[in-house]
Amino acid sequence: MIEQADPAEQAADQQAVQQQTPERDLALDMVRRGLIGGPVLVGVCTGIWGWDGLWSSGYALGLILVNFWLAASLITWSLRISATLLMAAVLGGYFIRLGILTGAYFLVRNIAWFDALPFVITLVAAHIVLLVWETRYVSMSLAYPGLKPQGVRS
Amino acid sequence: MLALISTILAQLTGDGEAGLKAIGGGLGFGLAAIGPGLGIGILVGNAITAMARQPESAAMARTTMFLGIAFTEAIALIGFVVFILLAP
Repeated sequence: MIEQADPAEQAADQQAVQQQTPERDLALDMVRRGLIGGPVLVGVCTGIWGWDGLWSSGYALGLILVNFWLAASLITWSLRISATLLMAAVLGGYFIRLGILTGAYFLVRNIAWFDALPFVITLVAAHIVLLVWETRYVSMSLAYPGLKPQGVRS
Repeated sequence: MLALISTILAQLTGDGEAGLKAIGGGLGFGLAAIGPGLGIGILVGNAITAMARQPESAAMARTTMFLGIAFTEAIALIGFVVFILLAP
């Protein structure tokens, strides 16, 4: 026999889900790591492609960080409303963010300082390196629902 | 069909190779976006199921879901890179 859930308990669970923002914490942590580690990648691109490499690589790094932050904000915002909206927001957001990336590329593709190679290298490398870096950190603190609270040792 | 589009593009651009590159880039980007779209749908669907079954573990499910979405998106990014590199 299936037990009926207590409405008060359900409401408390719902409130707890709405109050937590683990994905936004993760995204902000990734932005922080991107601002720390990103200049290394931008520096390498500058060394190889000069000033064009610097601007193109910096532009790509900025796009990736905005992309992470936007994805997390969409999830947090939609989960405060409903789980159905989460599905729509994540899938719709995926296509919108791809559109923004494509639009951002078309915006600068004919400008003199833009170089496609450092742009794409930074785009893929920054995305994957930041994700692996964050996943490694989260995996080490899986007892917590996202980032480990500061000051806690495990 | 592809030959027709290629011919039209070749006439518009005056360069057959550029037309084929444009088609290849567009197809590559489009095809590379299908897989992650399916993956994200499955991922979010299962995360919602997990949150509904165990609301006390919702934060854990959301953390894993966010990282999963970002990893899945990397495949679409690679398609985007191919599109940029092939764009005339």
